[in-house]
Amino acid sequence: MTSPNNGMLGEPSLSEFEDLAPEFDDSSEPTRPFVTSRELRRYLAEVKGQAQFLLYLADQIEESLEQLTHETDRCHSAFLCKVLGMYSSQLETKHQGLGERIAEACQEIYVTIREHEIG
Amino acid sequence: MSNLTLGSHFCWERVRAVPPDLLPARRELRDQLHHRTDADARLKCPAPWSGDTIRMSQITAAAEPTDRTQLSRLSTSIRGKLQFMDYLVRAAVADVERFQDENDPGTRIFIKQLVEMHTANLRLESQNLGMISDLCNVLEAIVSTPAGSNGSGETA
Repeated sequence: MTSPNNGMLGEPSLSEFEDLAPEFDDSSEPTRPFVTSRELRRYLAEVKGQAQFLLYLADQIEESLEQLTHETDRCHSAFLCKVLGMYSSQLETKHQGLGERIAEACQEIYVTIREHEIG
Repeated sequence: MSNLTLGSHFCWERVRAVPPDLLPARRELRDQLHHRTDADARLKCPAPWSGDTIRMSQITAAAEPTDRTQLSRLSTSIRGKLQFMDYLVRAAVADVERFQDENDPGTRIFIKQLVEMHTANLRLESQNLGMISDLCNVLEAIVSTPAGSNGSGETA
């Protein structure tokens, strides 16, 4: 499983930009430490967990369909059909939950940014 | 295919290996018995002498393949269902074990979703076992049919 801390392929990590920050910093005031709320962490964990689940379902559907194409045993085909039904049903219903979690997480991020800017 | 390494991740060969074919030797024996019975029945069957008998035989002969098809479909469906339930039980148990060892909040949520999916489906499947009862009824009806009424002239 891909580590959640891994950055996008070929992209620099956020910490690499820290060295550049002084060049663009035109104020001498110390910045207020940014604190990520527990709520925001929870929302982000929800987003990652649910997205991971949807990815898993899509992978399993793909693999099950591939298996079904080559399957000759009727009992195993019946089994695969039941599995496919389960995964499809989950995929159909759970993506809505992910959308809601993303909306909540983004709202929390906007609030956090706003508080930081005002403070 | 993403690199998911959960306990519930499909291991198709393992799943396939668990529900073994129903004792091939025994099935072979059953087929032999079946063929022997048919042969005996043909030898004992008196020649048809009336139009009614011929018509009845034709009706029975037409119905038998249909019954056999239904029986085959029912048994295939039940075996697929049992294989599915077996998978659900093992996947749910493996996922719970993984959940207890997992510290990352995102991964825990992912595993929780898997467990909920497997248990919900297991609960649903366990409530719909009526087809097993149907199969038993069909099988018992076949063996309890009075001798001579199957159109083959077989005697007890």
